[in-house]
Amino acid sequence: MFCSIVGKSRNDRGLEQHFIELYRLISQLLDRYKEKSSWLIGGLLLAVGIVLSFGLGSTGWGFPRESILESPIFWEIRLPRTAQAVLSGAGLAIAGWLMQALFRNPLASPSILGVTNGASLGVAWVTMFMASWGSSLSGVSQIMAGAVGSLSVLLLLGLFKKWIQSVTGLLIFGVMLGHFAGALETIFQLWTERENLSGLIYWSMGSFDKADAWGIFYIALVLISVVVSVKMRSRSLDAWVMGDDFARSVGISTSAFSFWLILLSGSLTAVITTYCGPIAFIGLASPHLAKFWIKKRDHRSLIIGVMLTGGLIGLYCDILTRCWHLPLNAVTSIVGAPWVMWWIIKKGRNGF
Amino acid sequence: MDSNRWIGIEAGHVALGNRLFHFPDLQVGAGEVIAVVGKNGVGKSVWLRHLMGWLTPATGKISSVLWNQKNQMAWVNNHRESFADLWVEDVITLGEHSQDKQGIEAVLLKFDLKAKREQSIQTLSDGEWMRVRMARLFYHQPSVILMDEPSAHLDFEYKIGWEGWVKELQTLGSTIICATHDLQWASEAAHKVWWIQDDQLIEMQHPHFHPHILIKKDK
Repeated sequence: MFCSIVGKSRNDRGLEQHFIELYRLISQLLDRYKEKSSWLIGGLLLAVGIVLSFGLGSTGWGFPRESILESPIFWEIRLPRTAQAVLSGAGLAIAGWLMQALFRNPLASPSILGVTNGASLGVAWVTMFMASWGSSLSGVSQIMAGAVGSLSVLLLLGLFKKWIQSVTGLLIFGVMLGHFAGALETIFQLWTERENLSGLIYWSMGSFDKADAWGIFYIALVLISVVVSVKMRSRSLDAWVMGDDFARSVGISTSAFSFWLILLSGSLTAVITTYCGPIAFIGLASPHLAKFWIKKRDHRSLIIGVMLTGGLIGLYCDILTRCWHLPLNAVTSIVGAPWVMWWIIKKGRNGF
Repeated sequence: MDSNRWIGIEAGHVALGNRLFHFPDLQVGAGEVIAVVGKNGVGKSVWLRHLMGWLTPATGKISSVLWNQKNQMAWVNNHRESFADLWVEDVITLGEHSQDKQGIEAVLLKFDLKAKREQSIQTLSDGEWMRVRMARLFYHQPSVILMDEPSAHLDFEYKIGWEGWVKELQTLGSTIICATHDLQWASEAAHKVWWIQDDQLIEMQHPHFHPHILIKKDK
């Protein structure tokens, strides 16, 4: 009854109706073409970036004289660094994307629950003790400390999750954990001898240049398992972003599901932060950038695009880092901050 | 439990902030239309949440065989999460579903959503969003549908459409429990009215409920 009031009858199609139809057809074709070509461009950019990254060293551009496969520089420095840049970028993008879904907030990032601060605290703590023992900070102890710090924040979140009712409460809890860890870190820094602080400061700037085979292995392992498990429950993720009531009404246990999201995103952030330091902005910006060129909006279709976008940003930021001789976090922030500002201004009318 | 009884309710109290409201022994049968009526803040939403099994009553007992079955109880409210930008089609098909793929085409056609199927739900008007939610109900055809003021923001045209679809859902076999401020609809279309006032839930059968009673009682 109601449909017949609103819907137009099929007979009164004028010429302009045909034009509208034609226009719609063309724009649909363009849309489809745009996404296909975006995938192509993304793949090309990745290939070009990898070649650039292989060729670009501390002495400037150039491939070694001998075959590249025999060069130790390639195997021990450039290949691991490239792999770590791509994998960490992709991982941070996935972690940020999951955090944004968890909090249903477009400005959430992987570091929002304090996992990153936990890692920093661990590294600060070990720096202080190393100094008092009279030895310098080694890579292994740094990694151990970062892992212990970030995982203990994750554990605390898991323990207190039971008593936190809302997602907003969880958000505030995580931010507070981060502040708490940050405060302790400052105190440890104060107690550390000045000459020993440089290692900590260098770590906190973030970099991909400490890449080794084990780091790449662990990051890849966690990334793959997170992506597989997200892919398996992507429809639940779709239902989750529709709101608590909606998710519950299709049979999702909200507390178990949010814990699952924290676990996936947190472990990914922990492993990447441990090996590369706290890297800003990649996790925040990549999911939004992915949505610019992917038309579909369900989580299953977005996952590869989010990974590719994050991997590209990680790779090119690392290349810029090498060109400009700047710390990684400076580069990601110089690229990322204006973007987020622009995004907020663009969204301004929608009440942001 | 007899298969005609979807929700069984034994008298008790529901906690509502720092006060309690009382409910008697009640039953929800298959194919019934029940209106939940009362002023703002008397606990209509909280009561519906108890029926969904999301909250447990302070005393008494509410139980349903449907709580353990996936997607047999639907929840409809006005809320549209501003973060979610899923497509219309994806939102309609969300949840476990046993029917074949034909279902979605028929439902999209019925609600005039064919052109919108690949659009984000954020681009829809309130009326279109209501149509998407109704399309979900027709696609999944759950046994019990709980609605929390679904027609609050709708203009009269959509309200008429909504009433027709509710009737249709009922003939398809769904039980409908709807919290509403639309007393006219409650008095005409509902088999039972659950009227909440002064921390009491009172059940009234169809012909005995009239908006007029409430207005007199209020004074």
